Amino acid sequence: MGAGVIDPLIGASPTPSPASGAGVGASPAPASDTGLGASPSTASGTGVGASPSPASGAGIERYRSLNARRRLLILLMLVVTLALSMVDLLIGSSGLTVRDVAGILMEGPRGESSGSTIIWSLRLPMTLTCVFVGGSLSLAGLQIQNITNNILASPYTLGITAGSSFGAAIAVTAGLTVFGQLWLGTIIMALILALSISLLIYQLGRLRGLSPGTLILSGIIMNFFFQALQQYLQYRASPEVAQIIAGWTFGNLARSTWICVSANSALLLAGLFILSRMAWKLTALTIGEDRALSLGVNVRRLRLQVFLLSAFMVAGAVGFIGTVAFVGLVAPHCAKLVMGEDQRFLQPSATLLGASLLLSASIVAKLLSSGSMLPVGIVTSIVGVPFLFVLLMKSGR
Amino acid sequence: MASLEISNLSFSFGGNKPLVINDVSACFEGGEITTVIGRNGGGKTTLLRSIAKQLKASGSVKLRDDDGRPLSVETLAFVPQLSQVNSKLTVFEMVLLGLVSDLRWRVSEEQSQRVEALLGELGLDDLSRFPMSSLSGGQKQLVFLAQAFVSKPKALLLDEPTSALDLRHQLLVMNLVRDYTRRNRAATVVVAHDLMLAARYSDKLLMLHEGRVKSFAVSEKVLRPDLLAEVYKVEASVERTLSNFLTVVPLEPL
Repeated sequence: MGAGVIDPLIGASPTPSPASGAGVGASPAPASDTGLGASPSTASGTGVGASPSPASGAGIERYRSLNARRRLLILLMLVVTLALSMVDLLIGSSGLTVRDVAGILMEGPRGESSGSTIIWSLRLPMTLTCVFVGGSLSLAGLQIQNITNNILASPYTLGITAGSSFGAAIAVTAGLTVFGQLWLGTIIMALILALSISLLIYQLGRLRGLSPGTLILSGIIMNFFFQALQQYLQYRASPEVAQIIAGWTFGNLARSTWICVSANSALLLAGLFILSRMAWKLTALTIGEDRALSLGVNVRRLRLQVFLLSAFMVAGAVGFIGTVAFVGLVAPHCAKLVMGEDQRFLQPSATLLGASLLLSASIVAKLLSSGSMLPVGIVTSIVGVPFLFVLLMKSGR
Repeated sequence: MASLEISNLSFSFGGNKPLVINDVSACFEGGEITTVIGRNGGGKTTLLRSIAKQLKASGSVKLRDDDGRPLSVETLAFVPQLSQVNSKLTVFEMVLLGLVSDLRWRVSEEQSQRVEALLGELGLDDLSRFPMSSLSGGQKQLVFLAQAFVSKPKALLLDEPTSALDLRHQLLVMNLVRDYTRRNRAATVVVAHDLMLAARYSDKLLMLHEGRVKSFAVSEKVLRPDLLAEVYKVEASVERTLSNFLTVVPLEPL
């Protein structure tokens, strides 16, 4: 929609009559002098916020119907996510039919058949991991793009994922257990690194006011650095451990467990809950830091809170299944494309699209490899790189 | 009557750096427009941002309502310079954001009505569903004004509201500002470079020079050739037009 199309609308307001035109002068103008009181709601044309005048209602109606459409789209995304979850659950090498799977699901986790073990111990945790990890990465990506005001930003492109993955590798190499649990040690190390990098980026941004390009370059440097460190760990580790560490560089759903599902669902739900309470402030941030500040938003505190929250969600994902690239970049962009900028709708839709994207990647990975499952991170990278390229071209213009 | 009173405001961007504004005191009365003028780098925007508490300046800022009761400074509205906004937010959503500190998950009927009524009053109702990114600069500025007006602030701070606008939008914007100021008895402080527009719309001018108040009075007392020479380093002639507007014609740089 070009500006020229809209411009006449303001021109549609009555221009001041020659007699009143002089009222633009130094003396206080008569009430009807603004030349802007066009609509029927301003019979007096005087209000400019002075007294509540009856609204015509057309704008409210349009706003309501826009929001109704958004709610419908979210419902549709929910249906698609559920459908993809079912498809993902059905695909596998064991030859279980739809009826088998439905029966096993109805039967509950106590079933004794081998099918029950496959569904309840292997496939369902993997499918649910896709939903929660995909959702978390997308939600974190959306917020990172928002608070850095950078369309190229995401947990992966800023190097948070790489650092987090390195943290997990340290824990695996050192056999770091917490309360006797290796997964807990891994998650904590992934979290420490994710938080540290987020704080570093936050501080750099605060001190230097990072431009979008510099931010991405610092992400590339971060990626190089942590990859080198991870390779060093691999080089020094025993062959078995080296293989595990190597596997961490691309997300592998084979590592999904019920603990992974519980942790990631808790992180995602907590993230959604906290972010939903900041939805309007985050929406205000999309119009620029200066304007958000002028609307009374404490931008500095909001940024820090959201950065840390995102780090938790990323660490949950990476700590369990490794690096899943580009979900946090692609899904939020798609969500914004169909939803606009209102975070009340954007948050759930980005979450659902992230889940759907990772489910689709999982389905593709299963279809491409019949035996051992292709790491899903490889699939998301293949989809994500061209997407990043398009965004880069767009942002360069 | 509302008032915005600033006392001894000083600010520097670093411990050893010179003061950008230096001991500035003034009282802006409700229902009046004061325009802050002065050279580039003279501290105009810094003064506005200090009043809005975006910068931590020393000194005090007191806002009072019509009955003289103190109001939180957070309730004043500050409209920064027009910058590039490529948001996909619609005009309706943009104005609604003016109420951001009161918005809950569900937008109340009263809040929607307020936005709707204001858009109607400003002649923007037909734009309400368009995204901000599709508007012209002048239209964007009108929307930003609506965003500032919607919370009915008792003080309005505007940083160069007309600098990027064509002549027609300059008048539209300033007419709106004047109407809002008069009807709501708001204390309005504008930063501007256009001296003639400033003289035309302002009840008072505040001339800043090297961070200090050089003069704070009605237009004809501030826009004097000797003061313009000292502050702007230009030789200028100041006259009145037939329609009784004050004009400043810069003749030569000094």
